[in-house]
Amino acid sequence: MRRVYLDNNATTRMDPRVLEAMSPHFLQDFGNASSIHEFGQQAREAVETARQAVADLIGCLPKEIVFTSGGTESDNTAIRGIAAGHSGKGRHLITTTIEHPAVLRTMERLEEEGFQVTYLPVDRQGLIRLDDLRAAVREDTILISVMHANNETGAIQDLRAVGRLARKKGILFHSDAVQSAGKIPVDVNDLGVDLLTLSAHKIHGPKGVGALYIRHGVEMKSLLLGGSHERGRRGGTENVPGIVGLGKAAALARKGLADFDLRVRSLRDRLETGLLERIPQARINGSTLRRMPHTTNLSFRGVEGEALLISLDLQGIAVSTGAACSSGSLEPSHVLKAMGFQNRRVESALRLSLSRMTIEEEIATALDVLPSTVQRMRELSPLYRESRNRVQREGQRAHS
Amino acid sequence: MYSEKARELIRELPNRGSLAGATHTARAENPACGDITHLYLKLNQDVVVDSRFETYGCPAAIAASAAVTQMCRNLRSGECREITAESILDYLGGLPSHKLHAVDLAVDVLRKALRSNEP
Amino acid sequence: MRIGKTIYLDHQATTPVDRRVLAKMHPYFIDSFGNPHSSDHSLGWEAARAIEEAAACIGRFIGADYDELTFTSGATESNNLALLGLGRRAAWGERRRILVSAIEHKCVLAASRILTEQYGFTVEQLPVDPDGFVILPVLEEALDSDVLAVSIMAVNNEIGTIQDIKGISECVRSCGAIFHCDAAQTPLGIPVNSIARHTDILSLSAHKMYGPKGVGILFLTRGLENQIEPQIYGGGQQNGLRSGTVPVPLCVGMGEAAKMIFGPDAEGKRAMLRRRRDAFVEKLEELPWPTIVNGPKAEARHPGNANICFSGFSAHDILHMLQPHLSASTGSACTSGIPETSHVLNAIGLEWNKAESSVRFSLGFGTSDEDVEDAVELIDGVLEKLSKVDIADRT
Repeated sequence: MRRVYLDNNATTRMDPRVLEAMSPHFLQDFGNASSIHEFGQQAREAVETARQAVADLIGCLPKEIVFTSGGTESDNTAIRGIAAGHSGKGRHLITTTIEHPAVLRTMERLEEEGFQVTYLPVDRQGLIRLDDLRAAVREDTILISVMHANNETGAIQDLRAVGRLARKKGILFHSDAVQSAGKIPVDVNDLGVDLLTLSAHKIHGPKGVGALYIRHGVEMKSLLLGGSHERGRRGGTENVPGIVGLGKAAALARKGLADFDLRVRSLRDRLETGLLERIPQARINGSTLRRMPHTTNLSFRGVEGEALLISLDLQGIAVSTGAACSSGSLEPSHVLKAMGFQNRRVESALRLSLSRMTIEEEIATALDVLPSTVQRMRELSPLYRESRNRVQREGQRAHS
Repeated sequence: MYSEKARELIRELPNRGSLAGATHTARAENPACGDITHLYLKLNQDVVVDSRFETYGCPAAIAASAAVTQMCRNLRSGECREITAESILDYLGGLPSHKLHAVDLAVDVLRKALRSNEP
Repeated sequence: MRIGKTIYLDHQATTPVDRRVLAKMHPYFIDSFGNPHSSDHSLGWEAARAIEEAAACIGRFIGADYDELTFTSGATESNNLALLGLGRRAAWGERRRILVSAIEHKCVLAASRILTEQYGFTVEQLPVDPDGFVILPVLEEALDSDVLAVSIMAVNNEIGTIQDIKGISECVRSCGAIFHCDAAQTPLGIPVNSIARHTDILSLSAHKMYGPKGVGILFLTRGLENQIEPQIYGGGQQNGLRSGTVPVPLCVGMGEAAKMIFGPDAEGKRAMLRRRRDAFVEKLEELPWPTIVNGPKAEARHPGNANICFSGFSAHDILHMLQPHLSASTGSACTSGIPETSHVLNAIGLEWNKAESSVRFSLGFGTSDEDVEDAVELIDGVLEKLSKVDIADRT
């Protein structure tokens, strides 16, 4: 059975070229990048080459890139680092209700420590309103953190507008770009962000490595304390193979941006249109205008998402109901709830996310299997029967 | 992670749908997670001769309800009352620890159904 | 062991990844690449199971259950999590003092500085004797009912001192303090299970035991999980103690490395390592150059560690001249980017100029007799050259 993998927002398959680039750093060029000898220096060089590649991907200087263990650590470092470093100026932060838990939980923790946080709502499209942001800004606001693309709906926030406002008000601006960088153009100067979070394993790089862009001159405290690694911003022996892998993944992603927008988008559109045609009472969740080219989030009325998901998995199709990050139990999506959808619609949501490695056969298989599976689940669903009966009754009433 | 038996039930969805001519029916809902189960039983001389279910809910709720429809076949109503959360779990070969409550819904709907036709 | 033509004697900075370890990691990069927290599909389950197996594997060797282990990005993060985690959770508690040895790794010292500056703890650095041993009576004297935690490394990274962890542990536990042990340097040095049961919290790193960089663990004795404040918040992975997608291939690599390094033949490898290290030191002492061994006698010393003071020579010059034929280091790798005097050598009372003349050689399981002989020859040659330069300078 060939597996169909449509859960690329959770994690991606590593590109063989990335592994190839990493391989020598496990066995031969394995030095500690902080050692002064030959081995150390080779490792150092490899790390700096990777730093350049990551910088090129987002249009910054290499020295503005700090390597971390992944997106979660980057988010924590950015938010806590700014909060701790700027609490003299103020103790108010602004974020959104649809952020990744790495941002939300860190913000909540800061609230316990006496900071104040405003959580901006989103509309049915999953987008924040600039007016809300304007109204939320205070004298003592020290940081605005707004994610670029949402992991569940793919909705893309207007960071440029947020950046302009932040700059005007003299507030630092962080964005979690884990789901966008490497898939759509991200330029830190164009967007006006001061801090930006990246992760390798969402763009066919290795797990266990990410990066944080910190604009030159931005003062902050470190999260991980150790030696003088990463210009004193992040302690711990550099994960050289991981960093090399991130560098390679960034370089490959940058080269593939145009293809991603064209080919992946067309596959996603074919999948989405096909499903909407084949499955009655299916609806798209979130903006279709400001949206990543590789994500679609659909609700199928009367079908519980997790059950659908397991059923699909048993047929070799991997998808998701939303955020993967939780301790085994699936909570209803906080993102779809924040968009104002009823519980039943939230529960019946399915996220399908593609990557540049997705092939046409996978889309064809998904289009083949999903409609029949939804149909079978609906035969089982008392909710669907009730809603169908209701529709029929209303239809009869309209005719009579 | 689901057991082989649970996966089989989720894949096959045996005894799904409503049952015309059911003698005993019940609906149960888990208010905490919103899962809903309908059970349809057809008893002939106090023996379950047919059983169907409809479930809206997580995979565990579906597996547990499907299990009940299989377990109660050809049993007398008194024997059906002896089906417990534990025996369903045994039948399923276990459930993920955070899904254990799903069998309570299945037991609940079975007990209700058996009572549904009492005078 | 050689890489190309270079003899590598810096195993305490980092070890290469063992081929078997890499082979075991390989499938998790490309084929079983699922997100272990995707509880919804089998790719995710496969990944989650691989992590559990890796944890169980490491746990077996340190006498821990798999759920007492938390994967981190390495020993630095583990040490941060242990100390800052304990301190932040107990920020308003009765116990206001934290004791660390003066020769701890930089990251322990840095974390304890934060505990002083931001959380008002009194962090005391325990002195060590000239061999780097924590002085038990001094520790006993410092311990009191107001001590929250004591952090002492099992094996020193620069001079290889193996502490009496059992003795230290008895003292610490008798006053109700929590004992954290940075065990990053133990795997090549001593059987880690011999110390793990004497500790409450223990840090390990994979890349110092032939595993991959970017992963380590924190062993937290059951019952202590509520006394640690997480440092990284997010999706609530690993019981909320450390959020973030767990890097499956790296964890699998650490599990496999544990199997090898804690396995039945490890004692034999350590004995071999000790023999070669001793031969290395003996041969260096036979050379016509002044050599002093810094740190403890062989028995209580990491079997691969040799910290040698070449009086009258600059360690930096020696290391520089040895390139690219031999890799060694001055003290801990983490600080060698910026030359500064080793705080460890300082703490054992070495004068400044002696410290500046000291080189740390650390042999590994792959170091051969031939490597030892060739290394000594190379060092001899370099010292010979440097002595001539010195004389030329002087005249």
